[in-house]
Amino acid sequence: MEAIFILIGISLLVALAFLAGFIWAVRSRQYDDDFTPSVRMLFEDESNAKSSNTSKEKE
Amino acid sequence: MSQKKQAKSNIDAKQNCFHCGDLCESEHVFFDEKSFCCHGCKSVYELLKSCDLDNYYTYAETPGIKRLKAPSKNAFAYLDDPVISRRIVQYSSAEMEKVKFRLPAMHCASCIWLIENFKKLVPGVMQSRVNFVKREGVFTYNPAELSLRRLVEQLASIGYEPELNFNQTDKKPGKRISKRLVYQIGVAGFCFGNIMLLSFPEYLSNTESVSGGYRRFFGILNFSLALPVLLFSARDYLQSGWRAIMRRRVNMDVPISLGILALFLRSSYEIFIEGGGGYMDSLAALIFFLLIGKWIQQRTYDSLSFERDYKSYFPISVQRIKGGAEVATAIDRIAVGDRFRVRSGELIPVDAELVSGKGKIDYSFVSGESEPVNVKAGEGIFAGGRQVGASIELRATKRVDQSYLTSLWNTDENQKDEHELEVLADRVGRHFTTVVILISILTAVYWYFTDSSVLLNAVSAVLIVACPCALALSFPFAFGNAVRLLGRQGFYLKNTQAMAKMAEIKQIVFDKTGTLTRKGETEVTFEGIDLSETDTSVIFALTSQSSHPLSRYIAAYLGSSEQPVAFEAFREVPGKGLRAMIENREVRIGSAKFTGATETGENALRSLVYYAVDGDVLGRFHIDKNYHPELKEIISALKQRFDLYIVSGDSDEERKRMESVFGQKTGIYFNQRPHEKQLLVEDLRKTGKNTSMIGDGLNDAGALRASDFGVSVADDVFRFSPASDAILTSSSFSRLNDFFSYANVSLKVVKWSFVFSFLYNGVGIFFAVQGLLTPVIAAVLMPLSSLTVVGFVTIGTRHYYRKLFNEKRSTQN
Repeated sequence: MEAIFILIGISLLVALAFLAGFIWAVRSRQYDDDFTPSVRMLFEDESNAKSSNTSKEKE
Repeated sequence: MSQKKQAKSNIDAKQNCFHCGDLCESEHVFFDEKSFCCHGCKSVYELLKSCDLDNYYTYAETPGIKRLKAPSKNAFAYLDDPVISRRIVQYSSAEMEKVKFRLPAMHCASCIWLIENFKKLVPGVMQSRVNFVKREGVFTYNPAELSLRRLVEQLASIGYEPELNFNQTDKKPGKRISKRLVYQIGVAGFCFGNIMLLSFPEYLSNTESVSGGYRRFFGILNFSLALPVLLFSARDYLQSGWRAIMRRRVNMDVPISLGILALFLRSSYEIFIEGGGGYMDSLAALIFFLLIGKWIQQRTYDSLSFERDYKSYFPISVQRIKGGAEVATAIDRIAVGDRFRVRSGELIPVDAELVSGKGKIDYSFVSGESEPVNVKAGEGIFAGGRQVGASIELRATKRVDQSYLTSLWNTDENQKDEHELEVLADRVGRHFTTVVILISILTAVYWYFTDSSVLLNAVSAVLIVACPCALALSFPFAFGNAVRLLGRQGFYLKNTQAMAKMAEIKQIVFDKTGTLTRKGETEVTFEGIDLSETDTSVIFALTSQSSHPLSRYIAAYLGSSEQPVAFEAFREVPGKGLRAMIENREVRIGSAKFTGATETGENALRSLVYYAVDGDVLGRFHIDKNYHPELKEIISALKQRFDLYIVSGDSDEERKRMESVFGQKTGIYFNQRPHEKQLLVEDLRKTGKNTSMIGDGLNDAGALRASDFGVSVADDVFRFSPASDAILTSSSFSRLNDFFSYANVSLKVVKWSFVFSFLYNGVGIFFAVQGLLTPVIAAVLMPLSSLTVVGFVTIGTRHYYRKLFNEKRSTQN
């Protein structure tokens, strides 16, 4: 049963890593704008579109 | 004349502009097999197409922005002034400059696409990124190829005119606060989850299956996980509660803090002295949910982003005249005696004296008077007026920060804090706290005499279970949700407190101009004979002599006349009309009685002006001051629930009309200056009834701020009045009554949620005072009560929203 001490210790460390990840994400402004990226990813890649103008046809 | 116009718009009916989506009316342009409503829209389309940017039209339908008037050529010339540009540019080097604008016109996916592909349109732009939520764009460009002024001009030319003002340069606090909140939530959530896991054995057993060593280990872990929650996440509540106690006042944070501390201290006691599990899970859960409620509140606030700064109304630079040349100069560098030029449509930034030109100043921002005032050379002009005629030359008589307008604004600023309303939640919270403390004292006294070993247990249990967390949650959740939903209907509230104030409004004061009427949009039509060229010239000649508003509207409608008309014996009979002799014929323009016309059924919302020659009535002008078409219905609906008043800066030519629309003779005030409006609102508030002011613009700022709930009516949401608690888009004006009803209903939902919350607390206290409250009951009861309350208010507010707004929409169509 002593394993439980180690396991809890490890699980806490993992959880802490996630907390650190969260704080990093906030700090690097990933939550500042949660709308634009969702639209931006749908835009045609302009460098490709230049070569093939036909791909611009959309309904 | 009007018939011609009518016919033309009939042909083009139901053709929408490919660019902006507006109905193509007076100016219908065909280009590239598409129809456009004006040349402005067409040229933007042409420009985008030539740059291979016509994808713009694929991401959203008719994404374009109609440009109402082309900006003057030198509108942005001041950006060439390095003093100004340095304030706006974020980063600058020889190869690269970086600038951030607010682009309020951005509204759809196509806008994002176009702005982010801006470098294809304008050479010299290196990169452009958009933050749609904040309506901001960040541009990096090469200053050798592109000047800041060019960049702004290019943006403006396709309809995305950046908002430039001093605010950009003043560093704004506040961003870091909301980020801190996110960290607090993160920490609370992390600790909450882990404490829950570690407390799991406690939920299952009567402690026998877990041996002492493990219990102690779990307990200590829980304690150390709860520490950051208490010290970091809950800090704002504890601080606010402590501050309130120090000021001998009780707010909602006091009982919350008491509950938090009681939970923490008792849990620590159990963990370290009794070797038990404590209730750290409840503590973390409580704080986690509280913070989420707060976060939702802040988000709605942020999305509105009210900026209470008068500076944003002023143009930030003026054309200073220096030795014959005009130089763009930052406004705060204008000294007394400096001469500067103000063009048509521009604001007068500082009290000044007219040097040359014809001053025609619209003081509607300041006095509420919508008719422009003529100013002769040598006379003074106050800051805040807007020149409507041709350009004029002025000489500053004061410095900017001393001007009349600034001082008017500053006094408002002070007044705001004085009458910060005590919101219902605080009121309830205060009584609640008193009762809870009373109960815990009684419990302590009782157990002290019967069984002192139960005392600590019972008292702390009372404090824990009575913690009004549900009470604290229901407000931000209910009103936050309601504010969000109302935003969809074009009614934007500043924050949830404004919603609480709105629900308790008993009387409403309306401003007339811009609220009940639309500014500047007067519709004139003529009915009668076909007006000949001579008739037009005659009417124009006479009406342009008069300064009566109705004459002015007619003169403006007829435009200018090429034929000068000689007339004699011109007389203006006040309140009746105009009379003159032209070629020995008597021409009368005026009221029905004056011209000898028979009066027909008067429409309360329009003025009629008759035209008669030698006693023959040849026709009449309809002058629609563009009142809301359903004004009467709206007012009579509101009248059933509120006391209504009108204050107007205009002259009382429309008193009769207002009396008939409002169905009352009293409470209608004309010729009111801004401070008189403010005094009136203050007097009305003294009657003890909560008062709402509905007005527009800067001129009502004092009254808006003085009222309990100030609403500014705006055509463009981004040009709100800084003093108001809410913005009403003028298209949603007809819904005003529904908005007030909804606020009422939302308050009712909150009150019901209080009942639920009390029920939970009552049951909890019932067990707690008897010392019977086990950890399981406390742990289950607290989050459960929070969750039901949050669920109840969210569903409740949404339900009533559907009932009030969506159902109505379907019956209307």
